[in-house]
Amino acid sequence: MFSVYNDWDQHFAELRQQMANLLEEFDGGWAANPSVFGGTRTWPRVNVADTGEQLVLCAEVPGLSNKDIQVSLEHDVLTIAGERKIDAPSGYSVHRQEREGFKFVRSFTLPSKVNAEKVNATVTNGILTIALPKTPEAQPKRIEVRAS
Amino acid sequence: MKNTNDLARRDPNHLPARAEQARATLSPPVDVYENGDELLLYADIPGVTRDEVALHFANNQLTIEAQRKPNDQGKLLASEFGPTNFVRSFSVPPGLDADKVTAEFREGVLCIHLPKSAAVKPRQIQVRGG
Repeated sequence: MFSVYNDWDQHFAELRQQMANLLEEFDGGWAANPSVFGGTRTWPRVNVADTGEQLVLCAEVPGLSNKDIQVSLEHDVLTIAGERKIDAPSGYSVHRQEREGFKFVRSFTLPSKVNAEKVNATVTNGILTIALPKTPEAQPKRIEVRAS
Repeated sequence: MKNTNDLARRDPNHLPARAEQARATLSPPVDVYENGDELLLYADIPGVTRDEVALHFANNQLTIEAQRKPNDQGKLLASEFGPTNFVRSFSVPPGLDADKVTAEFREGVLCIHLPKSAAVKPRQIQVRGG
């Protein structure tokens, strides 16, 4: 009787593992190659970090140079825009074309005030990095605890 | 009849899928082109340096590997990509000149030239009059 339950437990554990593997494969495959699954994805993918003194936005933009990307800041909304064109090199026939062309615009409402004059944007190895220094008021302040 | 190994196996925290969640493995999207002289491959691998890309070519098997390091700059407010292993293998047709394979890495895109060996290149055959 007990062994029957034990078997069920094990079956469920196996099922759980299979589901986890399946989801992981799906996430990976979809993220790299959404057209196979008939979908589109947000492009480019973006990370936003807060270092205390500044906000740092990183975006995956393989194949784009600084001329292909426009960055603008209006009040507290940061917008990145641009276009990636995928053309077959002339004289070559196409066997497979998984890399997609995109026209993109993404906007982000920044969580704190930044100094628009000192924003710095660079593209290195296919990653766009925008450093947005916070205004002095927005920077974290250390408050000393005094003994009474 | 169950032994302790089975208990370990049942614990979801011991499942391999959980252990490897931190670093995703992705196949980079790839374009493959061909002309009379070579096969040309492009692969998107953003966020790695040239030195972090490894290319193996043996037994008509071409493998691209790259490891993107985590970027631990500050506290993440939004995260849509992270540390990644990029891996992709291809079976390539025979008749390529393995010694002359070249690759360059620019703007996060890996470009691989696989020249054809002389035997499989298209040849112009002259037609002579009698």
